Amino acid sequence: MRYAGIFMMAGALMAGGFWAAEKWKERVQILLLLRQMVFYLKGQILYSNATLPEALGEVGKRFQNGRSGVFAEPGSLFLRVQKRMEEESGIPFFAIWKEEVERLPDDFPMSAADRQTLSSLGENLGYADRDMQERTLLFYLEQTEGAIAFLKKESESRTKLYRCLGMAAGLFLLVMLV
Amino acid sequence: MDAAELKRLFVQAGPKWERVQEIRIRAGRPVTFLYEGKECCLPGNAPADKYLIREIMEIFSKHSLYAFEEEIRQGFLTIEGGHRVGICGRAVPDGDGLRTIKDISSLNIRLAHQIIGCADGILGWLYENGDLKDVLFISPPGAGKTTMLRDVIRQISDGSCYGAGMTVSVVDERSELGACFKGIPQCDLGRRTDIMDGCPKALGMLMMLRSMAPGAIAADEIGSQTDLEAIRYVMNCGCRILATAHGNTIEDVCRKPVLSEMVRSGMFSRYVVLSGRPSPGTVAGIYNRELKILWNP
Repeated sequence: MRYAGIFMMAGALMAGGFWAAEKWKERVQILLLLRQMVFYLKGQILYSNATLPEALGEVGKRFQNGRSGVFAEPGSLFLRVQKRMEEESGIPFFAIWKEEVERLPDDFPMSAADRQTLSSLGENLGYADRDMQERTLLFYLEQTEGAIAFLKKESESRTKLYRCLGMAAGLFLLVMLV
Repeated sequence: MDAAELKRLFVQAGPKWERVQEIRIRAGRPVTFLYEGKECCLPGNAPADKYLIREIMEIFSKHSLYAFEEEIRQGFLTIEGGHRVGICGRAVPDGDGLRTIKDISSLNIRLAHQIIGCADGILGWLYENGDLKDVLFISPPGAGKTTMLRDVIRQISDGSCYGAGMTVSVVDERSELGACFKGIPQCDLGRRTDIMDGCPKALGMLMMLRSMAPGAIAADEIGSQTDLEAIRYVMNCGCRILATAHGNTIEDVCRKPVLSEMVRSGMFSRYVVLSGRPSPGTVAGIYNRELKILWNP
């Protein structure tokens, strides 16, 4: 029984390392997904001349369908904003957007800086003319590109590090307790 | 005052919405509305301010003013339900035209109404031996030509005792005829009607002609040279035209450069002149191609 407990604890530490490595990967995937969604949003606004609720609804539906867990969350965010814009027309868009970004789950794989960037996207969207919309979306894309490049660059070494640390901690525990 | 307060005051004033013709909101002035032809004020003569106007514009545009850039340049935007919102403020010139209108200080919200059957009295005059004629509806702004055209389209499309149902294509540049929401008309335009929403008239007429095989094409507020050329092309293809134009009388139309050419060349076989007196939709006269009066109620 004692050994079983020790092996389970060691296993948990190793799994923790793999979990941390997976989270790092998820962060990259979420940013890639958001980048793709903003590209699509840009098309809806500039090509179809859609209003913000229409564009968010269209993109949200497309990117929510067929996805689950954290990867369905960005689509749900767009759909929640669309619904609130239609129901609470008196509240400015940026306020709704900010509130909904803040309501993203705590375990959503996104750093505080990335959340802030996403929140800032709503500050100028809908304001002024189509050029302004394009510039706002391009600015967000530029910032996201930077974050993705950093995460990708760090990805290999970090995932290796987390896995190794997890395994080392597990083995250390085994050595200490057996 | 904010938009919620304005709404509350309207509920308190209690007008029947189907009888409200327009609402005028001017910065620093009391909000007024035209009710059955009479100007009324909100309780307490509540004045509007520029913040209220900005909030209303945000609500009307769904926080997406960029999507109405083209319309704002023309001084109006059409909102859900087909209601037209005229705007005034500080114009930002750009070459010969306008880049935008900023610091909006006045709004004129013209409420669209569908009056089923309002064209019953004139429909017979638009046919001859069961054939539909090319018709131009003439009236000053607010006298009901769009409402009349909408009902004529519905009856021509569905068919009536004067003629069998016919495929009608509507080019609704300003989204007033069909009051489309996401492409679906909110007003009843008949079972055989196809609608191209938000499309420039001349372009839309030619597109509809090529793609939808219409028996008749309808368009609101014609008057430009490109409209004239498109209408001529459509007529040469054997398709009927139903259109409206601004004017007080038939003589008034004859003084306008493009419209006078249409009249001179006998493009239309019927002219229906409407007057706002005593109420919108009052028929002042129906004329034939030679401008001889057919019906003078």
